[in-house]
Amino acid sequence: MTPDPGVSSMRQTTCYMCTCRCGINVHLRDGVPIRIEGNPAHPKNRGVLCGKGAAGLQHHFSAARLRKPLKRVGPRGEASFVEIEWDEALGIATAWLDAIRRTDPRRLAFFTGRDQSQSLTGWWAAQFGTPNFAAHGGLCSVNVATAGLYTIGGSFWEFGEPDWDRTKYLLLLGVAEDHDSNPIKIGLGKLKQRGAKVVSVNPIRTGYSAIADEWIGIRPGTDGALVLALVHELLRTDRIDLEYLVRFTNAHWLVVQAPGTAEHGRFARDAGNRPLCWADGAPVDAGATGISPAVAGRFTLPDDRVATPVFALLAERYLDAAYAPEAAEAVTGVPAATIRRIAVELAAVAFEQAIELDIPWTDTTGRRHATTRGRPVSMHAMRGISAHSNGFDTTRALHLLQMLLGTIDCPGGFRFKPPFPKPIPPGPKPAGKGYAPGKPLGGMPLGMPAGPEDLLLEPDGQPIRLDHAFSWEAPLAAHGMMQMVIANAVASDPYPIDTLFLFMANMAWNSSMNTAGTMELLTARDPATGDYKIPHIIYADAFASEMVAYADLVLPDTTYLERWDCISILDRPISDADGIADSIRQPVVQPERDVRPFQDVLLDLGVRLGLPGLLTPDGAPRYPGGYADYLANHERAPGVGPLAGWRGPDGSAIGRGAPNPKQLEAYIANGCFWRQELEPAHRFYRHANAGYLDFAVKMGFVPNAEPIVLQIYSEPLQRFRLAAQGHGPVQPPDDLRDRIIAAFDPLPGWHPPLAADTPEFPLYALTQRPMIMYHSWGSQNAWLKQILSRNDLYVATSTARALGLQDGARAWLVSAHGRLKLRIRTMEGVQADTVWTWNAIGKRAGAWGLAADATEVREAFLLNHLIDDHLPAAAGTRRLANADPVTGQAAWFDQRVRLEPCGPGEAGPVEPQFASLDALRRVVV
Amino acid sequence: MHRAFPLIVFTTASGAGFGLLALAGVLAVGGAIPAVGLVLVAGGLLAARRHLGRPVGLLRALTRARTSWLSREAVAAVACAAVALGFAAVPQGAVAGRVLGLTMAVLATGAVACTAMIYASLRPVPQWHTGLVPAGFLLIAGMTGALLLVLLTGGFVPLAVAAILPAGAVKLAYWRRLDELSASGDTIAAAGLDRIGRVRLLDPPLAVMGSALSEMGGGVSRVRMLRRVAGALLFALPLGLSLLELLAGFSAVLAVAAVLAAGAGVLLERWLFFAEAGHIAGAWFDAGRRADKHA
Amino acid sequence: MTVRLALVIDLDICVGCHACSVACKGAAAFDDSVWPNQVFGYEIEGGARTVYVPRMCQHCESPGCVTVCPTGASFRRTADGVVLIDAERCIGCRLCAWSCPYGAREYDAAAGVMRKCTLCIDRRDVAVPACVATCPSGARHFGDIGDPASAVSELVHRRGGFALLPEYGPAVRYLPPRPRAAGLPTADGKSSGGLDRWIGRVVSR
Repeated sequence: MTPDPGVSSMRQTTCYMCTCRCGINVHLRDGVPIRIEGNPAHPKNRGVLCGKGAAGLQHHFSAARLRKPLKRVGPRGEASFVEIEWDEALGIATAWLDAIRRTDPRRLAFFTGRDQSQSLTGWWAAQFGTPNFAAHGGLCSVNVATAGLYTIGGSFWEFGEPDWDRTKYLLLLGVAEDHDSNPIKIGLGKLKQRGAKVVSVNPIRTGYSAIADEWIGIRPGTDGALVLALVHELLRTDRIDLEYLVRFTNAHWLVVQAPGTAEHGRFARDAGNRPLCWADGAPVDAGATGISPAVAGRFTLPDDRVATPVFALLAERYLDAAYAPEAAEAVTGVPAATIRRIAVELAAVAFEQAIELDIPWTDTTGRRHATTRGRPVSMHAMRGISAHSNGFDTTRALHLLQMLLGTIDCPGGFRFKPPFPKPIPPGPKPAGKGYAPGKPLGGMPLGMPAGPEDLLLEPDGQPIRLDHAFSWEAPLAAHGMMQMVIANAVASDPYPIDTLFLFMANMAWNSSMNTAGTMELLTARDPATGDYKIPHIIYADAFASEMVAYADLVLPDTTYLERWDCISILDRPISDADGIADSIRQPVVQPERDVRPFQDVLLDLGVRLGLPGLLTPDGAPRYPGGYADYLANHERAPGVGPLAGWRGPDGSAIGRGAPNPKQLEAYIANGCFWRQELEPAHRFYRHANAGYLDFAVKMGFVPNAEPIVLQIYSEPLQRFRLAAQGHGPVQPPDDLRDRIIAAFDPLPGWHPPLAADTPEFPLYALTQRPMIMYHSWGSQNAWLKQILSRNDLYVATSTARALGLQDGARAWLVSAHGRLKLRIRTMEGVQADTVWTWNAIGKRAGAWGLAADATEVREAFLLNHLIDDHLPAAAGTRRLANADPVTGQAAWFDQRVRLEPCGPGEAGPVEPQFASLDALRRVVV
Repeated sequence: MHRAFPLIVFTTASGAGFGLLALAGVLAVGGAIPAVGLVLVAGGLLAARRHLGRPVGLLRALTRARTSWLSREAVAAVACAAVALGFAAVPQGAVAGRVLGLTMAVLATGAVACTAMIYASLRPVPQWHTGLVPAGFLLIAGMTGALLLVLLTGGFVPLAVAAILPAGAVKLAYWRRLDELSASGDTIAAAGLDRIGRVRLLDPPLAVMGSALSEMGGGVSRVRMLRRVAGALLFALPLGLSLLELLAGFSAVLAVAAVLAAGAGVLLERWLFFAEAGHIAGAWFDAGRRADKHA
Repeated sequence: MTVRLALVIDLDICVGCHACSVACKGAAAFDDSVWPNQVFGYEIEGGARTVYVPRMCQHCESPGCVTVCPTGASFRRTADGVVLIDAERCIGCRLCAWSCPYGAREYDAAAGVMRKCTLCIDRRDVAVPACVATCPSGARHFGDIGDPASAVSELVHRRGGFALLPEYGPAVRYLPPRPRAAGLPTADGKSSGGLDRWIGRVVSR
């Protein structure tokens, strides 16, 4: 493609506007970017670019950019700053952090928001020695990610995708604009062209749900009941792939039945700790081949214990009338006939429309298959499932549905993205025990517990982590619980901290529940000393968001066009089902203001603090060239670095290889990405594909070439349940036992959301990401804000009418926690009990430098104000997070509300309004 | 009163000016009268220039008279002004004066007609797409010109009376037609969107509507009241005052009052003309959200 | 058979993401406030469906905007039917905006002139307009609808594409949302017995 005359250059890099990470071409004239387009050669987007990416220059040139480091001089929360030089800023930060590291590293809470460099930031936190690190997954979609990793060894979006090219039936649940923005759009376009059926289960019919062939307007938070009713139907009509289950899942594994003992619900294992099945009248290694294991029945083991296969347990449970479509209809609002029909359709496509690809492959039993069979039913689920207190089990139920239909990693089904699948659950465990001054954690702060012994607990049972992740309150909080950090710090629960260090996370506004309360917590003072309860707040961001006003030290970041970055296999890869890929960002322009890329700042701080991983043995900086140096030269394991392509001295190694000083050049020459296509024989059934697993071992994806047996029945969950029932040395607090027993179910269950169901708050309140803004930083973009600078509450026409509300009327939206004044819009395509709005449009005056009469201030609101970050608790009882009890996922969409008309005199702007952060206007470009 | 303010001033001021020039030409009245007419026309044109985003190439507006009513109006206006200068210069009574006068009258009438046709020719604005618009513009230009003539000459009162009545009738008919359009209009079909279905806006393309169409439409509150005020100021009051003069003889006070009332009235009438106009593309935004008969 | 360049918009696939609107701005370098392409979201047919409808200049056969323009700034190329604005000649009288039945002309207040979709015809480095290249779901097509054998003509014919307000002779065609296919019959979905049916079932691995 030849550039326009007059355009002097073009440089390629990676977009940052969502988590798609598409490849972009940035056209420059005289070094100034003038246009951004999609890179046609990039595997993610193949030349297309969504509205967010195409508006990237308005993000880059935003009037809301910070321009210099800031130090607070007035009271916190008023954006009262002086500009300082970087040396002073880094000196201040180093002094605070060094004091912490020398005394108690836990007193640093380092949390990152829309950070795409978690592999670095998590490692840095581990080097510092604080267990108090996470990114934002706890308030995003940890349920979907973790449920997948504990069930199938991969997950929706991050580690898997539908087979867009071959699927004949796609079931979407809880999907609006999503992490994988462009691939989903590209994929849906393909499905529509070839007439594949798309069914979208979502309370709201916009976007993808609008073009779906069938929209199922389900009651929020009840998808688990729907999915398990589908499971019921498949079992009832025996429309399941039993062979798939027996070959690839633990359906045939024997589960000990010994109620009341520590063995109950554990797998029966042989002397070598291998799980057993029952074949030919005897217990046999479940991994053996050439056997026909029983899937039903009760068997007595040689030691007189009784055991039954996983499948028998699941069949017994889900065939019960409690999971029949009629029962699901009462809960979901979806007609039983519809549920039955969907089950029939799923089975018909999976079985009668199965496909065979001419691709021979060899499985881990040594059996060679001449072709690769596919059951072309695919599914995708995201935030609408995840952001509920039952999202973990709902996702597991969905994976169970997929396994029954035999559609995991087959042509036309759900396909893993390398480096997944990984063992279930993948290592490592979360590190955090044995923290000590000056000592690295000895592992990464986040991980996957397999049992109570992996929890991060003090000897007295208190959580080690500030956010209570990996405690009995949220044992599998694999992404941390960023949403609880501020409240817990102020409550000194379990201990006070010294410094809150946040990156790209607007906790003083749209990223928090209980927004007004959070704002007050950030400025809460100890009545005895008058000091702030959180003594120091360091905040790094590129833009003057509300959170900037609450910082003591502001480290201004660059935009994505001004920095190095990497999208690493060690983090969330840009792989697709057919190939491994990673990518980088390169600086396309240098900033003209006094800002520095956060990753470089972090490395600099690490050197100043003397963090071991950042220094050579002689004490010199290990990565003197900053983040670019780190990207090329850091080794997380021998030969394994952030980037997998062009490794080795001559750049010919992939995955493992010595650092290559010219690695980044090679990436840039290739459009800033690397992709290695998998051999056709390595593209399917990878959990049991011998060739793939050997390759994965070589690449460092998996520790060995053992088959990854999909876990319908999750023993780790049973282990937590057993502990709550009194077994084992690590015991939960008594007041949590019932909750854990209920939530930790080795088979997925239907759990109603934890939010109370009362007539006082009969409606459900949801948000959706608009396709044009996705992350909550669209409104400082001069183009995107023209499309969306205000939001109303959408209400079903029938519901509005019953309340006497007209389209456009002012109303109060009330929850147990707060009230909002807003306008409503009536619409038809929404479930009758659901009200919803666009996410994060409303801003506080002063943020982004917005005037007090800006549309975003006066006519846009945050639903967050209505949402409490804790569940209601009786006096004297433990306050629990408003979250999924398994993963700590923030349960945004459990929110219940009621709607009331405004009175005659109640006009004016939306409410609540907050004092303007006028001073923020002085710190932007 | 941001809506098309320069155009309101232009069409009313130059309308009155052209009306005065036409009458002066037909009635062979010279002297100050055509000068006043020219001043009004020039003032109106200057106001119109303020409407333009980029007036630097203004002369090019004379080049497309083959297709464009706006271009034709520009040509007619310039030609009329040139002839009017000649008419004013030539002594009255001469044949040349007579010829120039009649030519000026034709060109002035033509200029007003072309101005009106700019709007009446627009199919996408149903409120304007009617012969009542050129009729109304011409008759109102005529009657405002006549009232000015009365004031400047002290005579021609019956002419003024005779000019007001048909102007008022046409305006009333225009407003009645507007009401009929509102009652019966299928705005979704008018915009062509019914091919997609009976649409109702869920999400607008932009949070704020674009500027090009914001000069018209948007709804007027208390329309009936404003129409009554306009009608009273522009027709009833000048008619009454003129009848008084007919009976009691010319009175400068009454003539001034009539001109002022008509001046205020015609500005309001013209403001309503723009404000009550709707563009069919507006249905992209508000179809199905207003009381739409077929929605 | 004259060349008639046109866009074809697939209303069955457009998800309302506004990528086209933004890409157009990026390609055109007009004032920030100018949006030649705009995407409207509608509910239709008593609430049975949500549809997204991109709107842009329809490049009419007899464009009213050309007729009314006093300076000749607004013109139509006979070679390919593309309607354009010569910004050098435009005086910003905005009459063309009023004459366009689709509301597709935008006023660039910074430059004082009118702007609109140009089908990226002035960009020599691309084969298709920016909006077509960028549409992630493939809902936009570009080609010669004057040629009945072209890909876009075939698409329009196959899908029953239609024009909005055909009396104005627009070139753009919209493909209607496809009728929803009926679901599979539920049949009686026989129950195959209880748990016992799996006892003794032989499934080998």
